[in-house]
Amino acid sequence: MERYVARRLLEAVLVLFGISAVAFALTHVIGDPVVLLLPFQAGPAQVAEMRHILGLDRPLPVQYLAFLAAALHGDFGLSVRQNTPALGLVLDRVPATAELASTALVIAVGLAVPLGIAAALHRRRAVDRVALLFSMLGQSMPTFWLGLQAILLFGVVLRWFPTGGMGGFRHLVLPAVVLGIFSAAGILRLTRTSMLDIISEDYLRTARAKGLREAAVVGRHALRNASLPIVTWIGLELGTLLGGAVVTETVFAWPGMGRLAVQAIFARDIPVVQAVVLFAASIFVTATFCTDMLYAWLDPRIHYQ
Amino acid sequence: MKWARTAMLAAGLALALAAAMGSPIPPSHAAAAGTVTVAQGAEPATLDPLQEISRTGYNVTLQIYDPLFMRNPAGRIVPMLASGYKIVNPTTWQFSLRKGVKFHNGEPFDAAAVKFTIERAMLKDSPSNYLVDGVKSVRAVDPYTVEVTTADPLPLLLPRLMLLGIAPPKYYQERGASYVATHPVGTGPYRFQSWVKDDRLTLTANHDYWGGAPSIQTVVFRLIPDPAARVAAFRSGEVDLITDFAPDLVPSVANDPRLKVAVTTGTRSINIMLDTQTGPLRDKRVRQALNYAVDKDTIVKNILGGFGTVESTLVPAAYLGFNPRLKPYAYDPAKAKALLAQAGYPNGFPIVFQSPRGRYLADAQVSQAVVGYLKAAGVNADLKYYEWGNYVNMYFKHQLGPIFLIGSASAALDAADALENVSCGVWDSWYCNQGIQAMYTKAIATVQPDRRAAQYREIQPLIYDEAPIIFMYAQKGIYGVNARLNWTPQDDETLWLAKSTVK
Repeated sequence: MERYVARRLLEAVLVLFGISAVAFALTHVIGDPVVLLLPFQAGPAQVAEMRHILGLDRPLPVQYLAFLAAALHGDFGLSVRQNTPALGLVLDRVPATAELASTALVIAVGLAVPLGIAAALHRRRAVDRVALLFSMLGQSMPTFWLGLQAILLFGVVLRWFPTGGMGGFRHLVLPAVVLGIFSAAGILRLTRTSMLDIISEDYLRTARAKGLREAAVVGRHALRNASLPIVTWIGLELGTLLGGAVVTETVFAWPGMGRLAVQAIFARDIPVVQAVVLFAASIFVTATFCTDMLYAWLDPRIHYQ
Repeated sequence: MKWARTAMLAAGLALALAAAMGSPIPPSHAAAAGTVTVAQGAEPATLDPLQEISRTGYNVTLQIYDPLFMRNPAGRIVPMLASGYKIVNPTTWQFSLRKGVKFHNGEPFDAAAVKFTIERAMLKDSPSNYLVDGVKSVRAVDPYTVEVTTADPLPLLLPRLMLLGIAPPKYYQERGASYVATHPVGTGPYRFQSWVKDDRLTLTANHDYWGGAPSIQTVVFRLIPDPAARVAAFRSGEVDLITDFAPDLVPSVANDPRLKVAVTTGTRSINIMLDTQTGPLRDKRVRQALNYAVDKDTIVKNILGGFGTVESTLVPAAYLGFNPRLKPYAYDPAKAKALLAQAGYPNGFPIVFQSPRGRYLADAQVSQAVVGYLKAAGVNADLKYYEWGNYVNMYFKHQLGPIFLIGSASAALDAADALENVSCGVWDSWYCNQGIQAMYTKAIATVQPDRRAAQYREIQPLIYDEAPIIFMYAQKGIYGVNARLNWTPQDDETLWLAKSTVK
């Protein structure tokens, strides 16, 4: 077990190093931040001067090593546009993103897991058809479209909820439900399939034969054994959601990390892009790592080399 | 062990729920008495008036900071922190300053503040550098008189200073610029109250404002990046004023008496640039043919929903020096073909056409339409789209061409900035004519506005005839205004709320 943990940790660190290199390389091919920072009226001399001030005229390997050394200390430099520390800008967005992501995930799991189980138990019956339809619609409807329809219906026509922005619980409802529906679609499908795989196993027949109540059969025997892929999926989903839901955040004017990333990319704000990419990657790697640990713990049968 | 696992899963769920519910609940601002909410698609990067140079940013900073001069709704230049100016000689300006004005923190406003602000803008790493380009030095003659010396005659100094909010020097020195960026202090009609980054920015009325206390007590600037969501917030009544109203959504508010759509003539001119130094485009007849070949009225009507003004040259009507006597090139495909034949291209020619996608209103569709019209005239244009970041980079390095779409706007609302795009020896022009250049050089050195405007008006017919550009249209500014708010847009796109009222 210890060796398994150590190996997974090492892998996580290596992945982060890889991502840092990619993040660095990418931000240097997407365009020159200086020309976007200055107005059209600025001349080439002013551009060259600004490039020098920002250190963008140094050789790339030098810039990368300097970037890596500083990044290890949590220093991603100052935002080119906002003139404040880049990591601080990212951390400021964490509560908003975490609030939206966790609520959406609670909605998704609360909706998808029971529905998925019910669908598997009543295969090819009405509840299964409804579940599959929901899953298909949930994944194929673009979130920006669903979001706008929700805004128009519940925000403009019915006026039950605000059309966007962050505030109290009422502000959270629409974006969390829209994002939750999208996540739920995948979880539902997986829950249903995993349950279907288990449901025909011999030990379930045995459990029923010895007179266990159906709830115990499903809850204690079937769900436990079907839970491994579901837990993995939810773990990854949490990692993805915590990285910021770009589209949902934009449509609902939700001040989260995803939108910060998009704004930074459009403005060629390299320090912020790098900080947000590495931060989101760290979250994702951590979530994956935790899922792996949980997986090993939930399934004591398996020994890892 | 079994129970431990169940307990852990339950605890995890509880934690997630707590995270969801435990957030602080700020008060709702919607429709509170005396509160006006403005929604824009972008928010200022910083509230340091010297660092923020976008229109959406100026809309916020100019509520907090006063400039020396401003334009009133009629378009006349009115004194703000300056009480007047005197042109001592063509390169020396003397500004007299308003007395008894204090910054929001109590620091007195005087010549030192003006000197400090202009000198800070002159720093090489200041984005506001373009506003004071050409200024040589600033001198405080006495506490209420400032003298600005320029290298060459600089008529645009006055209109450019309208975008320079005057900042308090002592406060900057004590707190540092990065603190000021989020805690702005100016002399303006509104004081800064709070800023939840990426969400909302709240200002309150400055009751000691030298120009009279504003009637609206609280102004909230909300950031709603998605155009459709911004219109939805406007329709729901949550916000009173929105900028950059999506033209295709204008019909959605047509039947609501509470909601009005207000437009300006537009200061952003969108044009198709032609590299007149290479290939067939060197021939004036070819360039005129291209202007006749494109149905600009139809493009504006069908693609922009009518929210554009077809232009005769690249000088929009809102600029000083606009020539109203010129009529835009008419759509005349037969004439276009005839001119091409005269120039020796009866079967047209192939050429590359470049366009950004997503920077300007419907830019991709406009380019597509223009390419269609050019093809009909026999000019086989190969359309290539670029992402804006790369595009602007190529623009800056003079790598675009031979045909490409670009927008330009003059902060000073002066024809000089537009005509620079057809002048000689600058990086952002693809045309040069020594005769016109001589008139241009003389015009931009003429300090007296009326005489300068007259010279600009003489240049435009020549530019029209030379057709160094496919002249297109000025993009109109579109706002959504709730009927309870008494506010009218200005042609220079200034959004100023000090004199507005709410019902």
